[in-house]
Amino acid sequence: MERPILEVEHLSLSFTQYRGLLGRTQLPAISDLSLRIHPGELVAVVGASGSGKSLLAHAILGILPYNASLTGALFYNGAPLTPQRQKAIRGKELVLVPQSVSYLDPLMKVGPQVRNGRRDEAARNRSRAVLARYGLDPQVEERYPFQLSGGMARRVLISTAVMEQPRLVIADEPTPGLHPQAAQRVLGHFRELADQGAGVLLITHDLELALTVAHRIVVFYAGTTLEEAPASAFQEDNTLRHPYTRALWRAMPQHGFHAPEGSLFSPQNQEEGCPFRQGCPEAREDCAGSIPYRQVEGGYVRCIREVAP
Amino acid sequence: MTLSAENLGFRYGDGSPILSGFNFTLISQERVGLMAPSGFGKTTLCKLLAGYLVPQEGRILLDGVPLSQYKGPCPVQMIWQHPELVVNPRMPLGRTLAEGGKLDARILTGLGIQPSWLSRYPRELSGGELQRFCIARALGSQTRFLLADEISTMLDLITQAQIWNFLLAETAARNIGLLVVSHSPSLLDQICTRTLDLTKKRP
Amino acid sequence: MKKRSRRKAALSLLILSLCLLLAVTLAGVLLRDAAMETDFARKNLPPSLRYPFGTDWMGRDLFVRTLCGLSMSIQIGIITASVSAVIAFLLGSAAALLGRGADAAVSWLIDLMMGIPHILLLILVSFACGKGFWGVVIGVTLSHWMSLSRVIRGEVLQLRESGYVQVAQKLGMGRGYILRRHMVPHLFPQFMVGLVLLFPHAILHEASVTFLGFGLSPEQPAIGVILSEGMKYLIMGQWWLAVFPGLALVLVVLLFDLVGSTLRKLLDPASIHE
Repeated sequence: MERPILEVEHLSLSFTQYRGLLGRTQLPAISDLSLRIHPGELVAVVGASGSGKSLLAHAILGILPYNASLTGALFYNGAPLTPQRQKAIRGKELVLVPQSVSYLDPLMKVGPQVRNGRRDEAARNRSRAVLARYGLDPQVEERYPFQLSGGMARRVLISTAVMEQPRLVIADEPTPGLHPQAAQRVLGHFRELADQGAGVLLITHDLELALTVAHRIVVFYAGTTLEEAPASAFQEDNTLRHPYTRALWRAMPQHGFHAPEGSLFSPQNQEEGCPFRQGCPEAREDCAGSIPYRQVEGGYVRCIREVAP
Repeated sequence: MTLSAENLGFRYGDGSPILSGFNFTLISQERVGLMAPSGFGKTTLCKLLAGYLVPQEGRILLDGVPLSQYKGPCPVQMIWQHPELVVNPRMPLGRTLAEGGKLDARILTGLGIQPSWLSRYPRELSGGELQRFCIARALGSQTRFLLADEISTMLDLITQAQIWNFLLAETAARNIGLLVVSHSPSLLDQICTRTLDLTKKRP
Repeated sequence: MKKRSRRKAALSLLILSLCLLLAVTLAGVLLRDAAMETDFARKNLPPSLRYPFGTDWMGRDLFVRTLCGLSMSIQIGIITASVSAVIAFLLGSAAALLGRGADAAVSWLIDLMMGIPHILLLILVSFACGKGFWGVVIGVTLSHWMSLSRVIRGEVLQLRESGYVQVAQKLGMGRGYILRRHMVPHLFPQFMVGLVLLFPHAILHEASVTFLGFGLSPEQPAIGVILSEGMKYLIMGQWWLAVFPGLALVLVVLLFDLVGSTLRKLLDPASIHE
């Protein structure tokens, strides 16, 4: 197996917030997240909207908000990913396809945005080729973002990202509210990028869609990773290891729409212990203690039970 | 009861008509699914049916009476896709919830709303938690029809299953008609008695 | 550490400035009589330890006189700014809530009054009201409400269209409830900041109008009077008669501005966690 293009080791992220006028608190957003992406792989991090997954993308790119504090290690192509390195490769080898089309500059035409301001012949040819690849003809270059439909704007975002042949593409919720066919098309483009050798990190809340294009799925819940498994493991619920992942599988409409027993379902962002323990049918006392993310055959799992596939 | 749209026509400003000559009926026992790509007017239709927008042509009738004539809490309640936009960020959630009138404790437990959340502010809770409040708020005693505009699209699968299981039981028990807008064919298959494809009705 | 101290520093600065301004105001009230005291034996003295701002041609202690004048300006400024702000709030809300007609009328009025150069407007109103104390008060009050009114109008319009207000209406909540529970809590911080930022304007304008002769009458120790009279003596070399009062006025205005902008920074949701 080639060296991973991206390694995230024990990443934890918290925010400093003010309560009242002066009291400060730390709000944890991510705890102990680890994953690896190899070139040619599409890894999907799946979790509820607003659960902090986008922060992972921002942490890798080095664009976190001012009140965020980060621990853990990030490695790009084997070497530590320092802020200087992030700045150097951002937009070229390491790109983000953001969630919202409002990331496009409304005052700039599409062409210059895709070309990132460059005006030389080579850049122009390349941008035209990239846009054509996503089904957008040359006239689109002369338009402003507000003149594009939602789908076209999304394709422009992708074009901008792939202009310089990136090695690591991070797609942050690229299909919000899209019709299934449109979403499929967009995800297909990302899978294509992976097939051509780039590493792709797909961040999404839609497990169903992720399963159609991902090689591996990382299950993200309450700020931490609970399981990592190949997409093929999701065809049955007994090939899944963590009780939460199994509950997720059974909750899918086509698998019966089963909601787990027990009234509540809202994880507290606890520092320690399994965030699922209040809803887990097999919870034990030691689920409240610290549980490591351990490697198992085919993936990883954060559960104290001896889980056999 | 019957909720109907008669010859509905609507456009935003000077734009092209989103709906034209549109007719639609929903009765209390039904659960109708609504599917179409973005831009086809699903949210607009919901807003018209719930009285947030006034159509340029046609009218909305509840049991034959125009919707605008109903005073007090509107019997047709819409649950929006993005809960953060429809709760006041400066109001504690308990008070936001109280706008729905006196709610049965059963609704709060059924939706998994914790008592401690009532004194919290919207920014302290996640989208999924906020959505539970919005749903509870829409289930006041006067509600006869519920329009769910992609309410679980942004939620994780487990929350989605819990919320829908509760809603199905509740709307069945209270004979509340349901209109479900969603992108997910598998979801609509599970929930709805019939499905409407807006692409077929395009002018 | 940096962030905590920044916020704490801002708050301490705010409180300090407020205390200073309060001290000036109180001092001026208490020293009213001392400000009018004349003593020809000590006239035209340059600044010294005994008389930090020197004395004028009538032997009056300029420091005490300045304090008194500033105190007057601050009091007048605060009262007129407050009334102005209330007018702004009422008219702004009316424009946004009472329909097209009200909106058109208020907007027309705002445009009309903003079209006249500010000092000119002030002088006109003051003159029409017979100058003196009431002239200045009415003038300043009637010429400062327009910008804040526009801001309030914009905010209320936005609130009216917000998701949660629309949903509240559909849930049967009445107008009164929506005003009380949804609108006022949102408008209040904006209003307070707008109010405090009106003070320096009002103070400076009152001083200016008095300086030009359209404001408070000359026998009162108003800052404008002190400055206009001091101007005559500048040529004779008694620079302290204009410089110190002028600097003091600028300082007071800057302090109020500081209070206002610090308040805005502390209350602004965007930088609230800085």
